[in-house]
Amino acid sequence: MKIAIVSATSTIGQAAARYWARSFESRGNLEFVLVGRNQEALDVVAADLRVRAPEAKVGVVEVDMLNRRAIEAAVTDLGQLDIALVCQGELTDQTTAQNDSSVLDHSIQINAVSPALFAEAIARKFDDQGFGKLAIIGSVAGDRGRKANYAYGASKTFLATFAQGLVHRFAASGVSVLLIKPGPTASRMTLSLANPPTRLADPETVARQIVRAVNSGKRGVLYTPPLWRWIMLVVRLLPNAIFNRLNI
Amino acid sequence: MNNLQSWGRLETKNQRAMLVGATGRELVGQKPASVLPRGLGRSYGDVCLNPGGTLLSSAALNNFLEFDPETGLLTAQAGVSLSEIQRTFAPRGFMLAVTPGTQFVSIGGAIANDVHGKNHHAMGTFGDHVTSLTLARSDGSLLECSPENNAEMFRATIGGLGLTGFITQATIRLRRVQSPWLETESIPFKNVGEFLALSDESEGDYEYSVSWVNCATPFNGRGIFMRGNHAGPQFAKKAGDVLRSEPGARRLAWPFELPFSLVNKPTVTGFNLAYYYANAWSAKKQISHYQPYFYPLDAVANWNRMYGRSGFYQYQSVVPRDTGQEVLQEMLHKIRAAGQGSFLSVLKTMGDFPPAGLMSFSRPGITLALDFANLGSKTLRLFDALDEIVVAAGGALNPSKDARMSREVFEAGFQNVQEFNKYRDPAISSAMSRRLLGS
Repeated sequence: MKIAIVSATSTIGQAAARYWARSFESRGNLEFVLVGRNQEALDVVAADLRVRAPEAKVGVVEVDMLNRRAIEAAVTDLGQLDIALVCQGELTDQTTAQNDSSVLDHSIQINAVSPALFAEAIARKFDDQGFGKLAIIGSVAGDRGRKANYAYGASKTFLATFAQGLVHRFAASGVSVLLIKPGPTASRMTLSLANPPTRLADPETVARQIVRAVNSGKRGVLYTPPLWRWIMLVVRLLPNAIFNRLNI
Repeated sequence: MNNLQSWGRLETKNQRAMLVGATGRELVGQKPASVLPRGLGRSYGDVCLNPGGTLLSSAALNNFLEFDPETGLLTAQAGVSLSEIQRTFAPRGFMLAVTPGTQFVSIGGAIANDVHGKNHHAMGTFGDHVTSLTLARSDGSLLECSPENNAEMFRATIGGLGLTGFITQATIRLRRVQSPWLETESIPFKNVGEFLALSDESEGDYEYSVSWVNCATPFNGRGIFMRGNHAGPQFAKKAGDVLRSEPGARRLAWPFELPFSLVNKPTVTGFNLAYYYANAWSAKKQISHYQPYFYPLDAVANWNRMYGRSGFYQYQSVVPRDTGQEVLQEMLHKIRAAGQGSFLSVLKTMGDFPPAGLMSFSRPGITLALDFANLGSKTLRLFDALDEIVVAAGGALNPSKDARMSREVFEAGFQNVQEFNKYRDPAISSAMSRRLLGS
């Protein structure tokens, strides 16, 4: 079982890797490839996994996450893969993005372009292999544009459509594609927020739900925690006349 | 800026502080006495509070770095929780040598408060099992501290209340266990004298011992003595081993804050009666999993909310063993007279270990820990009366739990304050250090 985690230093990516390490610990043939932009940070995540799953093989690949050629080369070098989880992302401060186009530009690059390039390269690999499980971390923020976070949310909307297309493309094959929409989750992204949401999901719970869904070959969309599916259904169905008056 | 509280939830106003995910480097360039390292915020009092300043959270430093199954030495970043250590290593035959009554504390916090557990008489404190630690200081230095290297700074940091620098990582020695189960036994006692006799009788043969004592009005002073040892290999693969080590398994949560405290005189009396009879009637030997045995309160997340909006105090004292019986009786009488029963009262003897740190609370003697709902001045008056008894007996209060002791009481119990101040980091200050150390 070879698993690639793209942006393995992200809270959800690392939590998922840990959960895989726990659930496959006794099988011994587990192999992780941790992909990210910072070797030093990746090495810490790798050390942690080696302590948790001494039998597992853990490799690290440093790559420029915004360079399409580097991304394609890195994905090719990964060799045969069973599972890939694409989770890079940065929570963008909406007000800053409105006033500084470089922040908006970077947000779109890291939250939309980079994961799409990885997903497409991995999809090509899985297509050739004839099997593979691809999961991409989206967000509930992509379900409807809101004034509080559309700079970030729009990238996630883009990813949702991208993943939807992949799901369609691989519908009748051995490849499964899953878009994951976590609700607000406690992470490094939220730790220093000025006004953190009062109810943040525990990354471990989110990771468990992700890993179980991916392992089972689920296709389509996964809301985690599941309650968010219903919350976002309501948010999406609100008529503009009401929605536009809400301060959310 | 966030409104941050400690586990006792006492202060609700003017507690705003900036919480930032930290790696230790953030200390450099900070204004004097402006920041405080923070772990998981499980201390009861104000040791982990820094109103008006910045809290450097170790939450993102949650990685294991190295483990050697030959020696049991584990190196981990400071924000790793004890629960993560227990559930990762218990299935592999290793556990923490010393653990406090909650596993939701960080390694950094456990070191900074030099915590102890039910096996103090056999294993000492958490600090006794730390072989080295890395300390980031505001002058930009990253000190490797151990009994051999920077030994004075090492001793000052163990039990140093977070004031000597930001602990980034530590190496601790885990102990081997043959299963995650314990063989335990509960024995009722009628008074402090019987408790001490049971302690004397048990300490040689039982690694763990702790007692619950009734502090409510009827039957004040009686209690349940609980002792135990790690169970042998025959229990290693008992069903549920793995399941019960999983996070979130069968964990209840106190869902919301009440406007009033559920802990009042009738409920304390009722609980104490029920607890005694439930345990006295079922007094027997049994096999317990480490989770409910070490961490009974962890089964209910946010149990501190049961004390309502005003929060609660924990009052933990240690008094010398030789005069302990009279002193404890006096304290229990004082509590009864004040009509302020403690919901949970824990009594334990501490072993003859030299303190691991310069400012360690643990010392030979008998320790009594009490939880009191915050009833304002009434509660504080009771504490003042208890302080007098503790100080007269040559005892000390545990700063990790404290939110109100006076500087005089603190200095009476901790004679190394002057020496300790030499090792403090000038950028670091807490609500507690301003109260008890003057800065």
